[in-house]
Amino acid sequence: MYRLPLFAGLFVVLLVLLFLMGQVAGSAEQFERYYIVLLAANGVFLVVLVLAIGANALRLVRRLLQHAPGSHLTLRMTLAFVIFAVAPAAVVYVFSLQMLERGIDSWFDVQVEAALDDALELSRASLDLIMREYLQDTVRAARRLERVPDSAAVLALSDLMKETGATELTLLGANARIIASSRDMAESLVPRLPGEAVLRLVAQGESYVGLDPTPEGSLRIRVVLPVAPSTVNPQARILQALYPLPQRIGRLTERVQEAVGRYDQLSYLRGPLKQSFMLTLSLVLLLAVLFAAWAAFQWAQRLLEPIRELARGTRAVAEGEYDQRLSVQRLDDLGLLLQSFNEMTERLAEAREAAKTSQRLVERQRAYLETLLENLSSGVVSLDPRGRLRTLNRAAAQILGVDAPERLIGRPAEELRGEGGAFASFMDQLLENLREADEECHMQLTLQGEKGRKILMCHGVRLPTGGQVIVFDDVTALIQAQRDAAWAEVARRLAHEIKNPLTPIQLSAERLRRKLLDRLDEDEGRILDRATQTIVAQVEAMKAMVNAFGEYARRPRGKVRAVDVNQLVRDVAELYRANAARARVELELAPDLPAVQADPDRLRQVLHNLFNNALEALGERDGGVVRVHTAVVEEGGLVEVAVADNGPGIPEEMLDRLFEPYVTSKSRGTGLGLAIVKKIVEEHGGTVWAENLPQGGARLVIRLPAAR
Amino acid sequence: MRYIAALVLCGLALPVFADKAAVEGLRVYLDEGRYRVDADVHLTLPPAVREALHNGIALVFEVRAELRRENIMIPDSLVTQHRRRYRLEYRPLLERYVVTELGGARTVETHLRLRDALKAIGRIRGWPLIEKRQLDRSHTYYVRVRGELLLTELPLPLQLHAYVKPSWWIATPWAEVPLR
Ligand SMILES: Nc1ncnc2c1ncn2[C@@H]1O[C@H](COP(=O)(O)OP(=O)(O)O)[C@@H](O)[C@H]1O
Ligand SMILES: [Mg+2]
Repeated sequence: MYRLPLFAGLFVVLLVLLFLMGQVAGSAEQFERYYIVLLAANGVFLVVLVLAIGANALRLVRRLLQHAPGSHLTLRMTLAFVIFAVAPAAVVYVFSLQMLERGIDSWFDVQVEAALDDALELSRASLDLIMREYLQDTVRAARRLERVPDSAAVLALSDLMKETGATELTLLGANARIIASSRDMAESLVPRLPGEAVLRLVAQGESYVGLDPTPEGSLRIRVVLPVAPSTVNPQARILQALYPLPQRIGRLTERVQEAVGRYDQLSYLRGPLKQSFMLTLSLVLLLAVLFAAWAAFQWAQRLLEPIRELARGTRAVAEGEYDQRLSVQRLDDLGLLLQSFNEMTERLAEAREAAKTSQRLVERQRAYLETLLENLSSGVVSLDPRGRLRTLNRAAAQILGVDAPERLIGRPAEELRGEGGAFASFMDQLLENLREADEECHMQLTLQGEKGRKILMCHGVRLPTGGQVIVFDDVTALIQAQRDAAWAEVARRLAHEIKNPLTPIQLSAERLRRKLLDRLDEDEGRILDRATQTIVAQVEAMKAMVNAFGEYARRPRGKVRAVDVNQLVRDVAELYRANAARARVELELAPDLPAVQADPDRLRQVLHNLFNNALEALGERDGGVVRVHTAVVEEGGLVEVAVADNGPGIPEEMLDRLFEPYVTSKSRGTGLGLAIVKKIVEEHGGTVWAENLPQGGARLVIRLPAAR
Repeated sequence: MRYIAALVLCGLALPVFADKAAVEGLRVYLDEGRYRVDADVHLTLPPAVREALHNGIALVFEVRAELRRENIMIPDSLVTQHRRRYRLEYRPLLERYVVTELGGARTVETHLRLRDALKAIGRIRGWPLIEKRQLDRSHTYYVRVRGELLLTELPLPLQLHAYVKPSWWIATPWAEVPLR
């Protein structure tokens, strides 16, 4: 903790400052000159403390406003500490102030003051007495000097010095010119002349006696007198005499003077002294209290640190962070609390980890199921207990022709029923069936789509949790294949069973005619002729039909090679251009059409059939156009050939069964043309479909895989 | 530079120096190749200070003459100075004011009247500053004089008091004369 050294450091500084203040206030000489510095230092310390407390208080207020955890407790504790610190300090402060006031005042006493004044008066009186004595001595000396000429003055002065006990005698002439001077060895080399004021006084005939302080701090008596002019000395002269004070008197007066001075000074300084004492005291107290307040902040903060830590941890856990560990720095009760909190979060973290793992497991399982579903060739659709669509796998979407399955997921099945399209029709029939079904049901649904009819085999199961799963397969192709196979068998039979008797029938009929025609009369002969002709024609027709069936039933005969479809189309079209006078044939051939691996004869057969149908549909009408168009589709993978006409179009009810044998709208049609087309195209791995064009007419499209 | 400083100083000082503490008769003259100063620093004591003096508080004054050189961009620099400190005290026994020069000379004078004592303190006669040949002719020099009461020499409790009481801030403004 970084606060402890800081705290201790500040405390030491405080103690030192207070100690020094105490010393200085006790007027210890050596500290006197540091007093101001100390005051300033204390002031700085005070400011620092105030700033520190201010910062702490500001932080506390902010935390209070934020409703930070522990802030109210901090406030209360801090306040309590401060009050505990301030209350006794305030009592001591008030008490000390009173003591100070009274104590200092009690030093000064009116009687003492009066006594000191008296002592001063007494000293002055005794000094006056002494001074008067010396004045008289000097007056006598001046009388004796009246008749002494200037030239003899030095000698006279030294004599007089011995008589009077003066330390210095000086005779001055006009303008304070020194005539003669005599001094003790101990005295200074130069005579100390009186001030101007004294000289002026003496010039007026007065005599002066006074006390002079010496640089050494003692006193001496100075007497200055006019020396009366005489016959010998017509000019007025001045005599100055300096006498030392008698030692005992000097000491006494000095002491009195000092005492009075000191007392005056003290009593004068009483006010400022009190002020500075109070200032010191206040400063000390303020420092102590502020320090206590600051310490209270620090301590409360330190004490409540774990609580804040705990709050932080709790918040972190609430936000889902379990790996935060609180730092435990203490081993007290709060430290234990932190420790157990840490344990708790650890457990939570473990539990969450376990939950995560199991969730991951479930997730994986789900993903597995989903991939399974997605890659299943069967369509899967499920409904939840409330009848909403829950699953629709890729195969289902493909079979039902749904582009965006995710758009349908979650919507009620009832609502989807009315949407229109294959999917809606599927839902409609499904729901109809499910309503009556119980646990399990099987059904076959037929969907009417744009590309023909679809037959779906459905298998529905009610789930134990409610809701249903329906698995279905598109069996259209299967059924178609079965039907095709059946027809092929029929065709073969027909060819075999019917074609054989036809030739004998024809031959017999012709022989009958040949043998009997001559023998009969004209009428009978005509009847025979017509009958046999009918038989031959019908047999011929029958043969053609059986041949067509044979063609349909025929197995592929190999001979596969790369075929240029465009060329094939051109050849066939040329044929029909020549023959069909009425209809126009137009070609739109893709330039870079890849070749197709095919049997060219059978492919030509396909084109013939399509051309035939188109021309038959156009009949005798004017402006008939057959348009053949080739193209590459599916990124070059397929070759498309489309034969379109502008005839009446295919009757709607025939569209879905168009490619079955025997489906025809023509009186003499076999209905095998398109069946053969389909068979051949499928043998080549291609697809074929028919559609009516919006502008009228039909269009038959075949797609064959391009040769690689 | 120094004009600005003087202006600022005057602006600050005016209220404080209101009771005619001033320097009079400032004069610099050449005497045997040496510049000397004469001046009378006129100091007065307000009643509060006088009361302290009469109650045994010794006052220390400093009278100072400075020779300074004018600079253009930087503040003017001090070339040399001459200063004296005097202690003024009142002796109740003698009923006189005693002026002691502090430092080397330690001369003692007594005065019956405070005015005379202050006059003696402020009297500047023939204070030597510098030899003429020591000056650099390319520069401009000036002499300034001032007297003040030194608060730092007061007894401690009074010092605190004096620092906050403007009546204790006794000082003359600087008086200047250019040196020619
Ligand atoms: N281009 C077409 N326009 C209109 N209807 C057509 C066209 N092609 C085929 N059809 C219809 O399809 C039926 C079956 O044709 P198809 O299998 O060739 O047998 P057929 O030609 O012997 O009738 C025809 O009877 C006709 O109704
Ligand atoms: Mg046909």
